[in-house]
Amino acid sequence: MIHYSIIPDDIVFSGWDEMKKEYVELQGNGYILIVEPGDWGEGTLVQLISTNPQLFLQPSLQPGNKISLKTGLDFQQGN
Amino acid sequence: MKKQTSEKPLVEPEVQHDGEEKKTNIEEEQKNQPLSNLTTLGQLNLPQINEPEIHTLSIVGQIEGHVVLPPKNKTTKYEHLIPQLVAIEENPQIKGLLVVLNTVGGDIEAGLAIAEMISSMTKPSVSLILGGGHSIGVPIAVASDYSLIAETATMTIHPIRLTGLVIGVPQTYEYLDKMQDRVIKFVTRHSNISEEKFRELMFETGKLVRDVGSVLVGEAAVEVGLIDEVGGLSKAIKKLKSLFNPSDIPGAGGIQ
Repeated sequence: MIHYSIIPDDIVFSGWDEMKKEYVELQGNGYILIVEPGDWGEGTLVQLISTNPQLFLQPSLQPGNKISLKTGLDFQQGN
Repeated sequence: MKKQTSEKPLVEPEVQHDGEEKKTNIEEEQKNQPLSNLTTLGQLNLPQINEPEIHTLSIVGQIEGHVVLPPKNKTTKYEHLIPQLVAIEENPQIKGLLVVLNTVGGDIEAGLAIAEMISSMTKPSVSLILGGGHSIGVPIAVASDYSLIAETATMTIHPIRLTGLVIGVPQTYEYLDKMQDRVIKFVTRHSNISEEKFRELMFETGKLVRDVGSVLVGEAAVEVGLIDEVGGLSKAIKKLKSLFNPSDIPGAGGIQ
């Protein structure tokens, strides 16, 4: 992987060794959410996996959103 | 597994943790949608948002590619952007794409992937560099049909770097050169700058503190032929609208 940036590598990759990620996969209606579990039954959406490109335009499914782990609530209609 | 009407929960859970299919009755779901909206959002009916004509893609921070960067970095996840570009290309209601850039660079392949996707779309696109469009942000900026740069925005043009264990044989340099060529060829193909001038900017010494290369601020990027125009948001939107509605702007003329 070639990292082409003006920020020096030692600054970008600092904290590399401390990254511990455990992801949970949630099944939605025609898509999969990769969620990083946090506290209080909530998680942060890391990645959306779907073959429907229109889902990627949904604001509720953007990476970084909070997702409730219990219900995986999303606000789509008619999907 | 069909749900029993008498014991229906207010909100229908969509999540299964062990992957078994839940068949929900579509009519029941539609009937309960206002109720479900009420419990989650406090409103019965959500306003129907019509798909806007112009979609904006903001490319900020580091462009994250094959490797997840440590959390202190702000990143643009290219695996989310690519399907978004597909959606914008195939959605008939979306007429144009505005790409807003403020990036310090990132993964070279992810950046080139985004740049190639933008350049190969049939829908018109306009890019606007605010703040910075450095390193791999340069190909992304020139990939769109028309590019603008804010007066105070900068673009750093520098050679790619290889870190880690490097074997000291000529093939290493040839490999680097080949990778660099990918970027140079893309940029020169999609802008008015010549290859010699771009290479000259890339290998200039004495301009950058820790590196070889040069910094172009606002107008300078237009002067060398890299970016089309100096401007801001209003100019970008106006240009984008003129690209998909050429009859609306009187005297629009041809596209440069």
